[in-house]
Amino acid sequence: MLLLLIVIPLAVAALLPLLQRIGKRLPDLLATLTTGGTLILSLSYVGRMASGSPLHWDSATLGIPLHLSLMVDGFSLLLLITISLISLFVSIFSIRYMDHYGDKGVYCALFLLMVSGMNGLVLTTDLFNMYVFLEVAAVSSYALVAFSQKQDGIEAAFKYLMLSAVATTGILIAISFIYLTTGTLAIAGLGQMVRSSMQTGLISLCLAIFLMGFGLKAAIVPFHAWLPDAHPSAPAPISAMLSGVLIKVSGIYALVRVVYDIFGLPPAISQAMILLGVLSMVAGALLALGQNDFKRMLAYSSISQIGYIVVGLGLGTPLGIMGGLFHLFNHAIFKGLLFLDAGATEYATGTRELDKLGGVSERLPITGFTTTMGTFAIAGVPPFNGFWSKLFIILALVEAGRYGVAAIAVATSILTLWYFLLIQRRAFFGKIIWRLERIREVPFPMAFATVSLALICLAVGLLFPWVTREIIQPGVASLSQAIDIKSVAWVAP
Amino acid sequence: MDSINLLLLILLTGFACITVFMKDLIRAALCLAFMSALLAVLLYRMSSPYAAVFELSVVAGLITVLFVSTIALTKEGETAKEARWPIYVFPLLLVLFGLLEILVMKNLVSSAPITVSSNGTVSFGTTLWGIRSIDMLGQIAVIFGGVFGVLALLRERPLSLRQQMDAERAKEEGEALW
Repeated sequence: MLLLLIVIPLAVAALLPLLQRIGKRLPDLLATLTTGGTLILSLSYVGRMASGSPLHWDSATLGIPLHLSLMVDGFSLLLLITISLISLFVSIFSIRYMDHYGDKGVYCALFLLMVSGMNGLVLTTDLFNMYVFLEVAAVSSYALVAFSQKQDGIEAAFKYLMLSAVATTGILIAISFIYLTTGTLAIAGLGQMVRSSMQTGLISLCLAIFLMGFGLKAAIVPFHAWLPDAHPSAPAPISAMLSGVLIKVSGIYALVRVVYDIFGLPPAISQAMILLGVLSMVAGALLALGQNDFKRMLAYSSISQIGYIVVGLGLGTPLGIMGGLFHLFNHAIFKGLLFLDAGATEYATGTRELDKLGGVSERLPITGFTTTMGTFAIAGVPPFNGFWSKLFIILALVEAGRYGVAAIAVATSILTLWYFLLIQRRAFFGKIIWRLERIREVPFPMAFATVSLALICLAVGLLFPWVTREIIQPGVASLSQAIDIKSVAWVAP
Repeated sequence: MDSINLLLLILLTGFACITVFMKDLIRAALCLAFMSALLAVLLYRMSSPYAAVFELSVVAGLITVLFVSTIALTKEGETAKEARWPIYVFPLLLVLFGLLEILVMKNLVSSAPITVSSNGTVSFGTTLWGIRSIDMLGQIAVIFGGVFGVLALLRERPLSLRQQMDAERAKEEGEALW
């Protein structure tokens, strides 16, 4: 039942601050069980929407006297699985990592609220509901970024809050104009009305505001200023959630849902998305290159990888959409892994400055190994998952005759490999520096989370035909239907 | 536009500006509350009583209480140097939005066909529970988010990771001695 994906995390979040008095580990247990439950529930929908047709749920069918209507299609299911998967491993990692931050009950409550908000955002059928759930996820994330109570965290959260407020105000204004013009907020009915509307000026303005607002949420260049501060300043599990999931749900998902389903991906927006995607790809990679802070470098890398996703989805061809969605899924896994690895490194060594690290793999073999796996995945080394999704995007660009953009995508991928290998060389390989000789490998829950995500990176790469057919292809079918193009089953059956 | 509405709008904008420039945070929070109250009156006069009620109760009421309690709980101590850029940027933005409103928005919005009709027969309860139930769920979640956010930010400051590791190491060394 779709409503449970929103209500269960919300209800557990509401009760957690009261229940934490029962046992010290109860918030961890409840958060892990809740995210595990939402993952099982999300996976239960796999295989039920191969045609691209959505499944609707209405409270009236259960006799509940409320007007609750939710929908899941291939695209939203992909995001649901991504949210649940990453949040499960982040919960497990947080069990020990968040101990020294104190007040675990409030932390887990905010974390589950963020999950509930993201689930609501991807399940809603209404444009204003989308805005409300966007705010639910955002409000929780501001507090989580500042959770350390350190000056940099609070400053980053404030900057994130201010820029997000600009984005959400713009989004709300655009929604009100859409309502003013069409008289409805239901996403399903809006497409036809908006596309046949005579108010081209107002509609174009709304489209531009949506692109800017959701672009800011997704940290696409030039709307990316908040991300390099917010993501490194947050506790590592939250950085993994923000970079791995939140920017994709509140940025990419919302943007694509609006641009595809309501506006039908007009050529001008397609061009704009490709241009912004290329800018993000290149600028993010170049800025990542000069960083000394492990997490800040990962944050810039997220901007670069988001660029790949936006290019694929902006292209609007079945193969481009396939590449974009597959990279969205893969990036959530390997960026989640790399942020958790950065957290594990900081936990063990007390620093995340690359200058102060060296030969860490000698004392942290598990963290070193999983970071190497994450590096290979993000750089697109075969047979890891990142290789296939980048290959799809590059093939789609070649297929569409955009050879220049394809060349930039290949060059950026090489640049990515370069700066990640620099991290490996500076922090993990070689002989351990004397200051770190007494460090120890991280506790079991943290190692379990990173090893699991690393293995998933490899498994998705090896089983990519199954993953694309069962999880990605329904999303491609949904988006293809929205813009009236014929979806093709590109991968082997 | 109705002259009273215009006057309310000018007052509202004035209080918004004062809120931004006020140095005393308590007074700034109160100015913001007054601005919200004016907005609520404006919404009521423009036939949106439900929006007015929400504006008055949530923004002017609940949020002001949160602001004032947070400010009251903040201890004096460290001084922070205030950035000067808002003083220059804010008036520019105000002029920019004013021009945007006069030159673009007014024409765009007035040219749109008003397809939404206010239906006076729909009750407040029906609107909230019958038509916008999911919004209510979201609003509840936002309120929880705000409350937990305040609890998270006002909790006792934890030990830093380094301090905790040192403490653990000292404890282990102590145990080893025994």
